[in-house]
Amino acid sequence: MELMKIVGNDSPGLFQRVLVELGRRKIDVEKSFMARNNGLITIIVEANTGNMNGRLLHALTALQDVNSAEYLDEDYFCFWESSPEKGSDFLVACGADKDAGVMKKAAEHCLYRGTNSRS
Amino acid sequence: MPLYDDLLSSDIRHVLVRHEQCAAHMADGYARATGRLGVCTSTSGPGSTNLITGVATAYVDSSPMLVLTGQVATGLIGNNAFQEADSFSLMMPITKHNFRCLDPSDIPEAINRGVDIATTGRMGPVHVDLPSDVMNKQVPEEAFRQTFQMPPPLEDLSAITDAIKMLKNAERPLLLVGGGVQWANACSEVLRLAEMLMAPVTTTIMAKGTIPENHPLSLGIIGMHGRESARQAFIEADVILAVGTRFSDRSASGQSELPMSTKIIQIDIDPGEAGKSARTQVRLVGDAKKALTQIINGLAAQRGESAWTQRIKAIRDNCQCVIDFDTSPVLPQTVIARMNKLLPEDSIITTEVGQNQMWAAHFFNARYPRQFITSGGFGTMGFGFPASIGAKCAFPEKTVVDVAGDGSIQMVFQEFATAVSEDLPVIVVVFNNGWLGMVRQWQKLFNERRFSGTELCNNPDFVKLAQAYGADGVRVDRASELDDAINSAVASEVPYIIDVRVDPEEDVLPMIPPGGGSKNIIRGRCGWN
Repeated sequence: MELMKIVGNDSPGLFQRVLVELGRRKIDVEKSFMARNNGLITIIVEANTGNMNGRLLHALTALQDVNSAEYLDEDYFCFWESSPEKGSDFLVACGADKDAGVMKKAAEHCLYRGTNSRS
Repeated sequence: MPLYDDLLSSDIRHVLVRHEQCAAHMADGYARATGRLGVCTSTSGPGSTNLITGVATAYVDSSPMLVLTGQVATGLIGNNAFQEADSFSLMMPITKHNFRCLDPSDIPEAINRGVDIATTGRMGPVHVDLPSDVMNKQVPEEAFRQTFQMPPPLEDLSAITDAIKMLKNAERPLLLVGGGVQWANACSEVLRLAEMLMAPVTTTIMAKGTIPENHPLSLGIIGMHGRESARQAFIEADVILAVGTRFSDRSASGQSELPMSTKIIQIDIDPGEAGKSARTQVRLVGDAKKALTQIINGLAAQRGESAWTQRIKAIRDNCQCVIDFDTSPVLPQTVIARMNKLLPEDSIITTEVGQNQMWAAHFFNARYPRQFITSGGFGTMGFGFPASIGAKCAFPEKTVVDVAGDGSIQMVFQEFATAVSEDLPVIVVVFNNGWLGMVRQWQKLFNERRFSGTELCNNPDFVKLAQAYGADGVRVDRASELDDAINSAVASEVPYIIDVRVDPEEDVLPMIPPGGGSKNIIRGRCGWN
């Protein structure tokens, strides 16, 4: 499994377009996440990219409105949580553990603004 | 309705088809014949879903199209309204990009960007979904004044000097050319480079005609039903320059037969395709015309005759088919041979898909780029006839011929009504053997003649059917009748069908069986010494 970060302009259907592109290339997507921020969409995908390697990033970058696509360092992983109490609020983190530094890095990676930072 | 109402006061030529799939194929045929954008429209729901096969055909072969579909009013979207389909999602995997205009001010951007996206980089269809209430409103003036900038195309020609060095040192260079070369209008550069290097050129079916096929350096098409000479040179070459080709399973399979010492240089405008072959040593991403020009300038020197050019001549001479042109039933190869002889040199040939396509691809002598139009990647039966109508729209002065099978023509026969009413006298040559011939051939060769679901019972009288639409035609049973039939078709002022009765036992050969290699080639009438 690889972790990819795709950043693009906030245009209709971008998230769907990325998943469709992965799907048609027989990429097995395990988890995916999207966040909108300042006119950009950041998409995190955990997927088995098979033997496409670098060409997959090129293929994703070739999609209209996608600005960048990259593999995230394997030391980091992303996860998110939701609960009925929190409604649609998520807690997202990327990293090998949950110490404060990693959480901060995770927020940078995912362009995520968590519930506890909204005050 | 609003769009069609406005067409009344525009100078745009609208061609009313009898099935939306054919609208897409016609726009595609126009685009392939001209290199310019083709446009098709449909209503919502079933209209847009009927377009899908045609749009996918264009997408796989990188043909630039603008596809406009109607949609139910924005307030009804998502409610299973009458004639509602999620065209936006349906078109997504088969278009280069698509737009859904939820406000009239979205339309100028969608059209302007859509045209740019469709016609730049690796070309392809772009879809714009237009809800009825959005089309009924006025587009605000300021929306027309907005400017849109396309991001610069991805390009990486940094390894061009490596490519030049490799070609300079090559003893047995070969050019493998794909359809991307024709879309990039880089055919003259291919010819120039081939002549500089004295390198043979083999093409995929999509690039047929990139250089004249009677040129001494042309080896014709490569692939499952390609010329054995092309495959032999491909295997013997020490450096292969692959331009605008995606190494598809039908054209460049069996790369495992290449010696480990073979070097591949690949040029492709799509970074997702460049480097696709595991054997690629030099990967160049960018416009084929630009890359080839840089290579030509870098090489500078002209090569002369060599052992390799002598070998190529021998390979060409080895590759000969022995065909009795007078035999009955008529051989499809005879029909193509007479077409080579009798059709005007600038005729455009389109094909359906199946045996007819491969006979035409193998035996028709293409003389210039865009002369041979076929559904290479998607393999769409029913493509050729509407595509011929699109090509005829673009070049009414040229003879346009669709080579068809009796299976494929019945998928789109109703477009004779379009061809007649629009005064587009195309010619359809049907290889009528009463079977879905290519599948039958596979069942015969690889499934012990267990024919299943391939016999076409109760074919209609194609000539009478064409005449019922106001077209004309003739049935051909003997080779001696061919010349008169072709000459009558060329002279006809209405669409014309030539219904040629051919032997169902005649196979498209040579053939490399799926998964096979040079040792497994089935040759038939085509020998190899």
